[in-house]
Amino acid sequence: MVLSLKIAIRFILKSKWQSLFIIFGIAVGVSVAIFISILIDSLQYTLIKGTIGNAPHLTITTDSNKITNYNDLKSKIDKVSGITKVYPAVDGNGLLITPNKNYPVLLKGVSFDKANDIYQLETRKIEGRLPLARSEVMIGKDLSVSTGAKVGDDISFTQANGSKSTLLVSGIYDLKIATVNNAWLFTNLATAWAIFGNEGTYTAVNIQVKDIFNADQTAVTINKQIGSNYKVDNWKAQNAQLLAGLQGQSTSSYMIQVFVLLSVLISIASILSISVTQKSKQIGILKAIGLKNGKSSNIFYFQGFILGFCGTVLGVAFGLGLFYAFVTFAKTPDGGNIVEPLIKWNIVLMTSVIALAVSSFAGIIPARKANKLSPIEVIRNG
Amino acid sequence: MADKKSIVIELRKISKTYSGTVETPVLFDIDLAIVKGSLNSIIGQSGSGKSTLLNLLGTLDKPSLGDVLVNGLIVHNMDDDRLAKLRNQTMGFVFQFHYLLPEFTVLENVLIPISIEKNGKVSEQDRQKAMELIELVGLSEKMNVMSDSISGGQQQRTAIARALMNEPDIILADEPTGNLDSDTSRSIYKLFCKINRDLGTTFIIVTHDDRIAAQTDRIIELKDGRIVSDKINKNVACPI
Repeated sequence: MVLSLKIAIRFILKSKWQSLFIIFGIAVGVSVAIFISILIDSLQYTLIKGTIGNAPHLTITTDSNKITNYNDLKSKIDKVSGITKVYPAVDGNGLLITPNKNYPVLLKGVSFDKANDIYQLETRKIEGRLPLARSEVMIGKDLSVSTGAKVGDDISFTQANGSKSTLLVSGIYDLKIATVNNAWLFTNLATAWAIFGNEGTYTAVNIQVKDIFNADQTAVTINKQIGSNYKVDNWKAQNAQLLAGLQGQSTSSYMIQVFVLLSVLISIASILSISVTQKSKQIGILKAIGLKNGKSSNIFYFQGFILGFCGTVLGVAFGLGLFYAFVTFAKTPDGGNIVEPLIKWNIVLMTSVIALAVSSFAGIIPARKANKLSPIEVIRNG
Repeated sequence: MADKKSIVIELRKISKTYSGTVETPVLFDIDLAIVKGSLNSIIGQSGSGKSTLLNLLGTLDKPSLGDVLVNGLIVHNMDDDRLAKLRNQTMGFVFQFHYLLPEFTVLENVLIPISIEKNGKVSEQDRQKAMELIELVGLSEKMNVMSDSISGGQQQRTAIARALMNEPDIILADEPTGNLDSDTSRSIYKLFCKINRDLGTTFIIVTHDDRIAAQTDRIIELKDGRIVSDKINKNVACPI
């Protein structure tokens, strides 16, 4: 082992340029794999955060649209692991009536001390203040533009049963999602109860979870805890198309990574095979003076491992550097990041381990060649 | 007839044919026993089968017919690894083209046989011995120089030191001075003779030079794959 390792290191050092080219080749392959992996993860993270980051991941409802025992439900939900936020809401559909046009809207009555964790309305408001007083409402930026409603204006909210309410616009928010900005009105619970009735009851319990991709499983677990009288919807079921798109993106990213690593494998194997031919004189003489077949093979396994290790370390550094350069220089017109960086270190580690395994595996062909090399061939042919 | 115990290598009814598109017979029905501690030369014209005979004696090649015995053991059924171990512990090789490892220094090249035996775990004692051998071949000043940056004669001296490292029973040398000038050649043979006389190492030297052969204890002459003459030289003195 020691001797084969020593010879492998000397072979690498003796052919400096060739070794550097191999290391650089591996580094380029690994860096592309790492960069694509991080970029896709960050893009997906950015997309998901934009789509569901400020929305409930799970929503508990009943057929009667009435939840009377919120505290009891909450204590059961808290027993499920992976829950980060829970808050009740009183939601109701209706129309925002203007002289020119009627706009379908969803009036959401929430307790701002709890709901603010999810919606972050305090930081997302672009004008005015939170609707904490009776009959106050906060509307989205897009709805404000469409209707012309400004902070301090009264708006008219009409339910399906024809009942009308007049609400005062206390603030305007921007949750960066057009469908929400166009349709959601936030108000306090007291106002919602005043409009929809059933004081002390809720229409939904909203939940955010730690692992959003496992939200469907968490929904099943919660449903088991709280019983079948309740319906637990999850964001995945409601965003099937988005999920299919993300999964397609992930699959194509894996495919790219597989082919990149495959090309690394083929490159190292072919260069190391040439190396056996280049070093056949040395291998032949070593065998003539007693080196066993297995140890002569080990020389090339070690070469593959050492070159792979150096290439992988360099490749990880390149890949991360490339990604940071991308994040630093690729900006939106208003100076924001195109993607929010999300580096999954376990993926980086896994890619590195695979690259290293692939590099070591690449030593098999040259190792077999070295194993079969007969010293007499070298000695007879000079 | 030599005493069985004093024979280090023996060939019994050896024939060798190289097979390819055309079968080429090289050696025919060779019987040969090499006595321990002797200085032997194999002579003959080009194509007479000298190198093939040496490669068979060194277990680097396998005979088509017959048996090779090293220290009384038939090597015919040994696998590659057993043969490698046998070579490592009983033989030293000196080739015409030196065959040093250019990736290593002179000292490291000399240490290779013991490194192979001990799997790289070379002791200080081994290093000391290697340095003594380098001194013996007159290369103390080049000890830490890369082996591809010394002259041909120095490379051949390094190969001799390497061949002696594991204290082999026998050293096989194939045209060891074929690429060297006459002064260097003389000094190399002088060294062979000195080692043979001082350390009792058996030498088998393939050469086409009759003058060199004349200074060995035994001259085996090959012609067309057969031994045509086998002479003992008595009271041979090492060249000055």
